[in-house]
Amino acid sequence: MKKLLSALFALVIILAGCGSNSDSADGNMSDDKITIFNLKVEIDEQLKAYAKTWSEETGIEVEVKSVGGGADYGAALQAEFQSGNEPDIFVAAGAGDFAQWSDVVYDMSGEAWTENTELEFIDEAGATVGFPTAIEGYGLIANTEILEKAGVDESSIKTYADLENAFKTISDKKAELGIENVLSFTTKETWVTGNHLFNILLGASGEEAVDAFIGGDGEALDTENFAEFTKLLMDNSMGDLSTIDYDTEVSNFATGKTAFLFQGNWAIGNLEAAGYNTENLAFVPLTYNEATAEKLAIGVPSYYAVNKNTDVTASLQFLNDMAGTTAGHEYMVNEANMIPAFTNVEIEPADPLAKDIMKANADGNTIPWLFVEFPDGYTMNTYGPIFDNYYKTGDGEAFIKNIQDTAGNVA
Amino acid sequence: MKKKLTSQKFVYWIFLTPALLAFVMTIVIPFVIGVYYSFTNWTGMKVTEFVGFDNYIEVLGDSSFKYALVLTIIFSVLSVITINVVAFGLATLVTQKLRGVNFFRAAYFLPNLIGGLILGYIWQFLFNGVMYDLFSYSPLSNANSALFAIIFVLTWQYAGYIMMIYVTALLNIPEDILEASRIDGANRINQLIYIKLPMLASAFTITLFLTLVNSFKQFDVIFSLTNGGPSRELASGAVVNSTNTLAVDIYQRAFQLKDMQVAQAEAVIFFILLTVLSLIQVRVTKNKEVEA
Repeated sequence: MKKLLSALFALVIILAGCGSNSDSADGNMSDDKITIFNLKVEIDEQLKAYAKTWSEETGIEVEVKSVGGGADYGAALQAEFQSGNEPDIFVAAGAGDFAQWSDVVYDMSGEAWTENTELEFIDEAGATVGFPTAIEGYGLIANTEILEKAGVDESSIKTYADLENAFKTISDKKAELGIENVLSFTTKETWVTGNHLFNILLGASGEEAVDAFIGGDGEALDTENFAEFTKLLMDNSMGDLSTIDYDTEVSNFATGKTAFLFQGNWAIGNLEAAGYNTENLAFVPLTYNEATAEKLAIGVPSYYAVNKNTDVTASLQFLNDMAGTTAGHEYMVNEANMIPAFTNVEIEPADPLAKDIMKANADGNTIPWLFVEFPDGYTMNTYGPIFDNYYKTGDGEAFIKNIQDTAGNVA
Repeated sequence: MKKKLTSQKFVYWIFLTPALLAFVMTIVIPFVIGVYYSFTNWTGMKVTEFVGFDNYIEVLGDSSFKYALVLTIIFSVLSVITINVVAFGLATLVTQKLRGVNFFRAAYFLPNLIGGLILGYIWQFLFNGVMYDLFSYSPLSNANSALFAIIFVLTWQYAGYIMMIYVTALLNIPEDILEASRIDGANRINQLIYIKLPMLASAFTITLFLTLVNSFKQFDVIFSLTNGGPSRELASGAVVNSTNTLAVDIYQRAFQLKDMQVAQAEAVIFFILLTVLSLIQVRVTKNKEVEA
């Protein structure tokens, strides 16, 4: 009995030990092959095709491995590292990932591509460690057809007063325009309010103010004007905002029930699927004070990082070529349908929302995504309910106090 | 003789090993490792330091944990009552001599075969889509009604399953006892209170245990139906996600806030709490069991 038990435990230990076997050779040290560990499975084919043409030109073989579509990228990447098949280029989503991989990422400061973007990821030590794979942006998406009928020119909406006027004009003509309300919005999806809307407050107040707020100064942010602005959005929105999910929000706009949609350029796929004519789209800034006039909130969803344990020359050349050559631009814009973060890209995307984002980025009219400076999920879980409660009570003072009370809660 | 015994033991272990191995590898080892992690600064990647009870102190002092704990207890009590009352009512109905009872038994049981996530999304659509379109009202938009909506959906899902246990127990009550009581002049209500309920005590042990554990650990229905929302303003003026039960809170802490070590400590507290509660419940109800 005792023997059997110990044999059993020995077996368990052997099985458990299998995972940590790490003496397999590292095959990616040489210069003639690089491995890319790709997170977006939807661009797998396009990336492979681009890598192939690049290989033909340079003679460096590229292997693309894609995970995603619900798979756990972080766990897969970790397994890859532990098995000894360290990838040369991998994807990191933001500060959390870079902190996790800080021992591995190569400092790309001074590389050619860094000159054409301000959206690279810079770690706490000041090293440029992340190559922006793409940019995304959000704001108020306008149905230009309805706006035209209402006599509102979307390009003239630059300040809060303009936005207020436009909302009022459209609201007064609701019946005439055949819409139910001005804006399609939600407080149910806490990432829309707690991350994206809250970020407008952070972005408008500036990085220093955000640092002060994180440090415990509740007055640091321009919350009063923001409360008024939020009320304008909520008062002109369709339906019970606590019950509207992302699909309902987008479909209300797509079916012409509202003139505006509070979302980002990613919604275009859903709008197309709903049969909406995507030519009639334009971004209007989420503006509530001087700092936010004319601006769109633009950020980077993920970065390429280079593994410094490998020979980095080929990887750096690959990234520089993607950002610096026409073929690379062609791949990013036309093949992968991404919006490049680089200002030297001259190819215009077909999608009008992407066009607006590229233009705002080139002109420097951007509000950074500062909510990513908080721990993952923190702003969503903390401020999401506060927005929802503000919608229910309409109590601006309580809203301001609720936000101010959270100052300094994040370590 | 002795040799035979050892070979019997050998066979016994051969049969036991696969199940035991699976149990040890998927339950015992992760559990032990999990308890160990709750005393360290585990980030989900690596452990560098042993921190003693720091994680537990952080959890116990955290307002979201306190809210989740109170909510989970209220929620569990309410849903244990509703599920059992509904299940018992249905069981009494489908054990009557009526036409088509088999059909009704199957129909009431059916929702239990739908996965919790899907069920949550279906009901979310029914509440926020259909019901809102018809009456401009959705229970999911208000903190209190959202809790009742979750209990309603959970009852809808689980009552049929619990009903089956009651049906079996009701059918197992010997006919002669009921007949004797009828001769002594007991009416249906007397029979229910003085004969059926005591005879069902062993079924109550099982059903109360199942519903208590199921409600306490409930995750998928809440996650898909409300995902913690809508908001609730507490007396202190702070605003929280109103339907964050302990299970949802642990999930959010671990996988959204990536606060792995603290979430692990919360999960250990959750485990101890649930074990104590269910042991007490089984002890209490077992004492009330009678033999025919």
